[in-house]
Amino acid sequence: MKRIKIKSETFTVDRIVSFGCSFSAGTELLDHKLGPFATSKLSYRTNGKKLHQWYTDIHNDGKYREIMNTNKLYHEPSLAWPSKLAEKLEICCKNFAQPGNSNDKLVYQIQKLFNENFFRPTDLIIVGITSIHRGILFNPKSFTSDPESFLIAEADSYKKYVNPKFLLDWMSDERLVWQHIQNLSCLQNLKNLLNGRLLCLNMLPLRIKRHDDIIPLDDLNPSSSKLFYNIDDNFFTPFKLTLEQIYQSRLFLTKDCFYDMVPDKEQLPFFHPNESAHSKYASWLLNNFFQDLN
Amino acid sequence: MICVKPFNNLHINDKNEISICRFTKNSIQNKNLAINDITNSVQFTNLRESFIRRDTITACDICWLSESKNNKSFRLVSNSNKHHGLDNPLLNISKYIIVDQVQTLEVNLSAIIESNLIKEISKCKNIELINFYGTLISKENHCNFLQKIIQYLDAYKISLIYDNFQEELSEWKNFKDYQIYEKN
Repeated sequence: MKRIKIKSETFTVDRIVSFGCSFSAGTELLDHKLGPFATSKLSYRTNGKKLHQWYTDIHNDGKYREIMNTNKLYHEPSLAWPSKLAEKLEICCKNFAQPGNSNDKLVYQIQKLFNENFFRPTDLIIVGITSIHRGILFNPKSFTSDPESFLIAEADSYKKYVNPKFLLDWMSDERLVWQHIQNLSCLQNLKNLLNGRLLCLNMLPLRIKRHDDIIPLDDLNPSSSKLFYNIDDNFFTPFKLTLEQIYQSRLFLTKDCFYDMVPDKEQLPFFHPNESAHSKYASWLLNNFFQDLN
Repeated sequence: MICVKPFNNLHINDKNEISICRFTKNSIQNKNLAINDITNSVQFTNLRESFIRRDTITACDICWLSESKNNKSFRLVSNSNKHHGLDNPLLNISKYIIVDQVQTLEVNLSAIIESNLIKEISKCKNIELINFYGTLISKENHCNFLQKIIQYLDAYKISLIYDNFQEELSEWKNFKDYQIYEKN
């Protein structure tokens, strides 16, 4: 049990519960344990092949599929920044982050766990907010009621359920920003219900792009793509004030984004941070925002 | 490679030492430690970290050896357990754990468990299964242990499993159920 001060508030915490996308799930961290497939992944990048092609290929190989799945489920989330932060505080961490997660999905996850009374009075919930170009779809063929995340620029992730044209028309930039505001508002309400024990951090830059510029997934590297626009530079005046208000509220620990803090040399083959970057980010959070009162 | 045992189990051996599984060589002495100091001791947290990193864990050689001969190891059996295996929602793969995560307890029947240790273990309110193995040294001590468990924990939620036992005990009726694999 730790007594920690975050900004001006003091909490007694014995567990960090985290949510987020691949940046919080530690995706790629244990790829070196994939043997020959780790080398093949590197060659996909050097040969300019698409990342999802590598995943498709690996899914056809039972042996590596098993390792990949256990890495994703049990190992990598325990090495990502939420776990590093918990380790530095010598407390437990339950990391619910999943590769490919959307903000919709992580709000869904938190809401569901809240309704199940999962959260304890000594939990600190940390949410890694991801890119807004993602959503959720409820798969009618799924055995569970849990929705699946999709990336708006990756038709493969939704075309089996929805007509791509319909989805792209529906998911205009305005709607994406509006959806983002709804998600953040929902998290604000949850924060109040959880006695202030919920904090958000930006994992990826908050950028939008014109929906008529939809491009394939592998060009969706936010910092390199010229098709992305910073919210501030653009034309979303109706949303600007609301977003500013949310950012000035207690919801976000900082406006800084993890992605922007990772130098090229600390990026893994497909742009995720390596373990040292995760560790540095956790130390940065600890040194700047957390005060151990024990 | 993952094993659920370091994350949801405690084991008390015949010398009253505590480890995370009856087959690991990694144990700590019970020196009136608080339960949190036991579950998050350096030995146990290091072991958990090695599992998280997929490192080779020599303390768990028995399971690796068994698996290398294509036999079902204790790890595989535990992982596939319907209630306390990998699919169990309380399972949390983390270097440090909270006492609520401890769901199973393994106890050597030769152990004479001090009341202080029983008190500490009873802080693990989510224990659902106690597995007894080894040779019974003192029936009186064993009954005393069961009575303390009934006193401190919700015994009606706990299942008892004996690898072998010779007779029936009146204390058992307070528990959810009991099972004896081998009656001598």
